[in-house]
Amino acid sequence: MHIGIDVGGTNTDAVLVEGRRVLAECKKTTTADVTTGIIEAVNGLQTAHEFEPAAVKAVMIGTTHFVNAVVEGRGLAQTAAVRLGLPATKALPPFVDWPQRLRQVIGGHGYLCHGGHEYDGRVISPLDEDELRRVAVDIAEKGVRSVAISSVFSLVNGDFERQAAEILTAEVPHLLVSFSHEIGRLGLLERENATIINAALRELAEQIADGLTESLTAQGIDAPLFLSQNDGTLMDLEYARCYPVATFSSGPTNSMRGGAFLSGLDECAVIDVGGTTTDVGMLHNGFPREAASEVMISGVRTNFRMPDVLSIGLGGGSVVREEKDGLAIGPDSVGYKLAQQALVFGGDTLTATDIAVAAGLADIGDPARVKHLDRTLVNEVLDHVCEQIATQVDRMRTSPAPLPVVLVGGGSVLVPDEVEGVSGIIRPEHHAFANAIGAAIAQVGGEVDRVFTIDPNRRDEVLDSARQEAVDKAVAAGARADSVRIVEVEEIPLAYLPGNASRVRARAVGDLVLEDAR
Amino acid sequence: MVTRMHLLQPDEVDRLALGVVMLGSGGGGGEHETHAFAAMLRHEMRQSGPVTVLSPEEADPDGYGARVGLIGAPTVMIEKLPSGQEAEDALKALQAHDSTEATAVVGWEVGGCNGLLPLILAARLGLPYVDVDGMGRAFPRIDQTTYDAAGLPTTPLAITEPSGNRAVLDATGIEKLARTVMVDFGGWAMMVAKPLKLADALKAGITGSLARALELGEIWSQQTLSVDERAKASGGFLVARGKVVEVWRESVGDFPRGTVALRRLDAGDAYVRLEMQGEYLVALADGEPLVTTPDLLCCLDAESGKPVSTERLRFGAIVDVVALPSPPQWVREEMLGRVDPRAFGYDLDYLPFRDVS
Repeated sequence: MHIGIDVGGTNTDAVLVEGRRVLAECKKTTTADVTTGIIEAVNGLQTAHEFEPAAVKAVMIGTTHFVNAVVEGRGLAQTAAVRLGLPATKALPPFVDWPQRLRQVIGGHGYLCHGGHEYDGRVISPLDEDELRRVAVDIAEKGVRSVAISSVFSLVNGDFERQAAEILTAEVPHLLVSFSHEIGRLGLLERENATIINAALRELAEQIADGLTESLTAQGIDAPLFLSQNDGTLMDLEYARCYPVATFSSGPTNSMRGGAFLSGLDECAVIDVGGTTTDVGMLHNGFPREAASEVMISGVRTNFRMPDVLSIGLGGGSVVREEKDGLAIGPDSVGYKLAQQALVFGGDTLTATDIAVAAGLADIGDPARVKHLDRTLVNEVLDHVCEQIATQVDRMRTSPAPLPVVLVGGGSVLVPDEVEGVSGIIRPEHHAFANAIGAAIAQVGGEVDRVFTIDPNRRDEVLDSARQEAVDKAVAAGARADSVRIVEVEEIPLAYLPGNASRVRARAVGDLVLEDAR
Repeated sequence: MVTRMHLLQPDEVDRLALGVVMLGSGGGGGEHETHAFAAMLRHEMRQSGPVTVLSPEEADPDGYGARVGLIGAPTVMIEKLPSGQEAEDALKALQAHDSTEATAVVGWEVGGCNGLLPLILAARLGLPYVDVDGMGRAFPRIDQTTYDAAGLPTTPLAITEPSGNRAVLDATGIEKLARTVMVDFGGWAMMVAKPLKLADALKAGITGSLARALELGEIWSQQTLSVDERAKASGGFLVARGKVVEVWRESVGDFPRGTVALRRLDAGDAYVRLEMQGEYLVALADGEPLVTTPDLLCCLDAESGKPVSTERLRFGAIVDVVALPSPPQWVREEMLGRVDPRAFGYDLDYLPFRDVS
């Protein structure tokens, strides 16, 4: 069996899972130190379904802790950005266009050095070891503890980043190193930014990783720990210490994946209706579609893998108002105060949950308190909810074929069984724990994203080699070789470049090897 | 149109960047690629101060304007970023062959990344930018300028790349030669052509195009207006709101080309087809053309309102297709042959711009 835990902003949810069966579930309040909430949630699982700690083969955790640390600017290390590409790239030095505040918090030490490759693999300029040694001396003097190394076209060839790291760590032994080719995509500035943010989180990641291990060991659980990533795959704790940035959007991803898992569907839309917002995502091959554009993190432009999720301000706690020009539902919500402020709980705020109770869709609180509500109003609110959700689902849709929809989350009672353009609504069991269940699905992945020169006669060969590379990466990340499959391949010819240069992305995913778990 | 000297400030750069992307008609480097040049321009302005933009009336007709433009793949440029030295290097290399001294910088292609490049050069050299360019939008080929149509020389032309490699080209068939060099230079390169006498540039070129970009940037950053209202305020119209149900791309000939099918969301069961190469070139409904090049077509993400380039348009995206009129200089019989649908290999005549919304 294994344990899935989702540490959200408000709640820490945990599930105990065996194969495809959910044995126990538990919801606790998230604590400031993260670990206390986790301990309480695991204790809750013990109470609900007693288990032998040694029988737990793996623990998977999804957390928003790291992204919150960046947004709040706390716990960040003094960080340097070393870029390899001179004489290219000088016009846009590291940290250009960063918000002043965040830049100050992490020190904003940028270094431009020689190195880098062309899109076709030629060298821009060789690495200059003396130059890097001088950088190392300066880094040591400034008390920098973590460094982000980015080389031009390191997605074509990552050797320079690794060689530079060797030179720097030879001079500064305890320096933490983050590699851009492991983190972002094409687009140097955005990839470098993502790498810098990752580097700034490395010390915090060490603390959290140690804290998580300790809290589980204290429970007698000695199983390996994994953290969920933005794309829905897992990384082990050692990897998480190095790449905390990969956890940034794991919350919505886990809900989507959990919903798909519970319903047994691979191709569907998942709607997660929470207290304040509703997230809508599309699953293809069991994984959320990825966002195509750059992602702003605390005012910094980055380009790492994020799920394509539409969020609207509509949830179980949404405040319902009758206004002159019609009905308004949300985006404000009573949030976690639902149990005090909603009419059905004796409060004085009309919420979406009250409407659901009045319509007989939900049995929460005291239905007598909403008996007086006008039927027309109730129907209007429900129609409005239905319409909004239908619109979002249609936006995410990629083909006109009927699309099954999986509904998860505490507020999902609001959604009626018939929605336009939807072939069937599935409300799986345990849906309120979809996020924790999503974390517990043990899969790992590998990705390739770079420019290939595609000779027209060898197109299949090139695409095959990209696929194979993605598969190899998944296996290296811990996937069982016979379970690995390709979930995405995309080929885009580059505009304005004669010849046959194409950007190719391939992504592979497989089941985690758990046999050798302690 | 700007009628007096304008000092372009760092806080105007984002607006200008949006405007030049709109003028890119989906090409010339999209929002993502232009962002890098916007950051560069701001960075340069912080060091060198604002850029002086002169209206056509204010420019000294006896002066000479250097033309600068990026050739190649913007997707490669956002990875192998410029050194910032390329345009100056090219100008120096050029001056060894042609002693014409540049007293100003003029535009070559105002649409996309190349709309911002001359401003960066102007900031670095402390020269004014004279508000004229040769396209008034984005086009893929060097010879698709009103300068060329007027017989103004493009050569000698210097081409450089970040590592300092340079070539000065003086030959006929400059297009093919420059592209061959560019590929060898690593996928993109900077070009500076023989400075133009400002009197000639202003007579042959598309004047006020930077002011137009600023105006479009202003209009399209007003998120409170509907797309329809913004299109009308820009002198254009909303062709359709649609969902991309098919994207078909192929890489034959000189440039990648593609076809996009959009299922209209604003009219029952109707489809709009876009033909694209580097830029969006033709919009059709039921096989009948609605909008044709050189009129402009922009796709804007329905949710974020941001322009979506031809390279980034994806299956499943919901976009507003907006048509804007071409600069009037192109819409003359003797000019259309360079830029009409036939110039791009489509068996269609130019269709005079008209609101079909």
